Amino acid sequence: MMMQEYKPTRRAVLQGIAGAAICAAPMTRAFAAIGDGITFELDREGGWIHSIVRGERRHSEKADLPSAMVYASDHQVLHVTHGYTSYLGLPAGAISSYRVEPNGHLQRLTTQGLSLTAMSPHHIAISPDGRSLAVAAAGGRVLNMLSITEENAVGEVIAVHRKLRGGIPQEFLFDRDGALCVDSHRYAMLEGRLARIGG
Amino acid sequence: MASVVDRNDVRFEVCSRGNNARFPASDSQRVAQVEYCTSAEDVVRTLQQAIDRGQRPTVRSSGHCYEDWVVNNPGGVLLDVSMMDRVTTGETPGSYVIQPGAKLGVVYERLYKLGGAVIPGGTCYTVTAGGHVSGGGYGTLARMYGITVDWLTGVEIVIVNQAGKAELIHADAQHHPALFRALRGGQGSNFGVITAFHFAKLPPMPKQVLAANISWDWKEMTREKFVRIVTTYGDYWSKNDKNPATYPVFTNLVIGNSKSGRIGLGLHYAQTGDDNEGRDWVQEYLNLFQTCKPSAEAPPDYLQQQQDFGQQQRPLVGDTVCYGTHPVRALNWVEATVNGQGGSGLYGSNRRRSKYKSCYMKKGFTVAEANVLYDQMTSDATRGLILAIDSYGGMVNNPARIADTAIPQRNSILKLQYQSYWLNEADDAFRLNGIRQCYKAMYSTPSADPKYPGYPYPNENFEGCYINYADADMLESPEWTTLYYGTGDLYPLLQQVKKEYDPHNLFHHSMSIRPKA
Repeated sequence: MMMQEYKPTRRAVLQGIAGAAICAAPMTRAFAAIGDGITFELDREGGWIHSIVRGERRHSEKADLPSAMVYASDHQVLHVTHGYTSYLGLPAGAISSYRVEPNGHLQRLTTQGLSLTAMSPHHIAISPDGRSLAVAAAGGRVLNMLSITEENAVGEVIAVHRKLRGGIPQEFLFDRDGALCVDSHRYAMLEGRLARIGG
Repeated sequence: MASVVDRNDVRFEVCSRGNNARFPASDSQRVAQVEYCTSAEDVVRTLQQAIDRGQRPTVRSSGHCYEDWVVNNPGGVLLDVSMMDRVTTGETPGSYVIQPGAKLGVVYERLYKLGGAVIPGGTCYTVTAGGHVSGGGYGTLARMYGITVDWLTGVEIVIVNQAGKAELIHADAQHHPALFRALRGGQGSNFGVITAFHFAKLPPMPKQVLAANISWDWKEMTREKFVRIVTTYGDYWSKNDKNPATYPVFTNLVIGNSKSGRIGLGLHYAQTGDDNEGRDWVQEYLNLFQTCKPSAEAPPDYLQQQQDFGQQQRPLVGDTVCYGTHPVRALNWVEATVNGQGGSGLYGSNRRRSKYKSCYMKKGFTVAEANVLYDQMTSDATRGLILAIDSYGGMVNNPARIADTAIPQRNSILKLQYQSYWLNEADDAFRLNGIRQCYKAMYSTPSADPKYPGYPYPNENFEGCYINYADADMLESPEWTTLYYGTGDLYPLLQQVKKEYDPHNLFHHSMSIRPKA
């Protein structure tokens, strides 16, 4: 991949900083959070994850339908959802974890399916303690909670929350207490399930 | 009120499992709670609570699902209807109502006591009606009476409507007819929670069953002998499927891997007439496979053994041997059916791991297929593999049932079930590879559709697979729904029913009906 100078706009940088938690706006490119001078850009239409080091595109990793991304808490692993409607014959999207090399290259660690019906994932967030990862899919109607392994790669789906109706959330992040905030609703693991809490 | 077993309950470890110890695949995949329902009202209430909590519901009647459809449900709720197990007479004379949790062994016993009736269902005592009937329901009386859904006239089912409300409805030929057809083989797990099956009438039980068997030792087996046995078995049913004289018959040829099993041929002849009925047929049929030695050569204790046990000598080694005529046991029907059934124990307490595959065959085995089977069954790679080849045809092959049930396979003479059982997780890869290897080889001969190598895709020789012998490997084929639901109008109809009666796709699993995009 030919290197080229990259000059992010202010808007793009702000989106990147915001996180990585919210990378689902209907646009073709989005940024993961800044870490060690490396940012990542998802080219959803082209199917690439570009790494940008000090303003220059250094590496491009082919990725099927990349739709949202977030750093692990140590900023050394990048989690990227794939907007599949079918994965290995199942009606589900998928998620990959990549180790971030110091030079901005990505090394894929794992790829695994989301829960059944969690198709076309569009939002991703990681908990403050770095031990849980949440994904929203199917137009906001399906939430997946996944574990994070010791290596900071994504683990199994540990709970699913299904809503009969929903819309693409405007806000999708964990709060300081570790509750998942999806617009005005809060969710937490409760007795083995992903439960809506509060009002 | 439903009884709840949650993750803090000491019973949870067992209650959240199924019969196949491969599932749930990990602790993370377990449900959050199991809810034991005791009535249709219970089901409505419990299901509504699950929806309101955002939990995925899965449904269990006996826990015999071969794949991960039920207990792999991370954080979901498992509705268990095993305690809804009544078998009663219906409102009209000769009618019966069977609840989904009724074990087949109990169903046979109760129908016997209530009216001398029978469902032409399966041969595992602890399998329950819920999954067995709604997926088809084959058994030893299938050639004579068809399959269980052919007799089904109504289903009570709790669905979740467009508004997200659980409601109990009754489906039959007049009410919700498309749903009713879908539930006659298309499985309840796609559409809701079945709470009762209605049968306006059921066939009479046979008076008596003639049972006989032959078995062969692999140590005395040759390729030529094996090919002769297998092709003879298939050729007989190819020529005689439509012969009414064979309708009372069920045969199964069971072939175990040469390192771990024997080859057995068993038969049941269901007598509805006098005690002589079918006895000549049994002798003629078994003579196709083995000629008895003269009576004069029988050892001194042979006749006494036959009187006591009525079966062929079954030495630890060697083929079975008969003298004079093939020994035949005559058994009271209910005794033969209930006592002869396999399976026992509480689901989840079984730690046996398993994998299954299936195929419907429209013709007997070719020599090429028999040779492939010999190669596979003598290979170390398939150690532990068992293939059961059942003679399901006869009245099953009533073309009228294609249009009003969800079982389109009405032109087959044999149904094959590939099975592998083991105990240790460490053997998973070996056992799974073995069964997959054999299956792929069996459907890569010239008999298979060259466009779909490795699959019994419907053609002049095969009619796909049986959904109740669930096999998630089939998902690797983009045409997997055709394998189970055929090439006709059935799958689009099932999708339409899915859209109408499960508009939120709440009832889903890895091989469920996919909603139309």
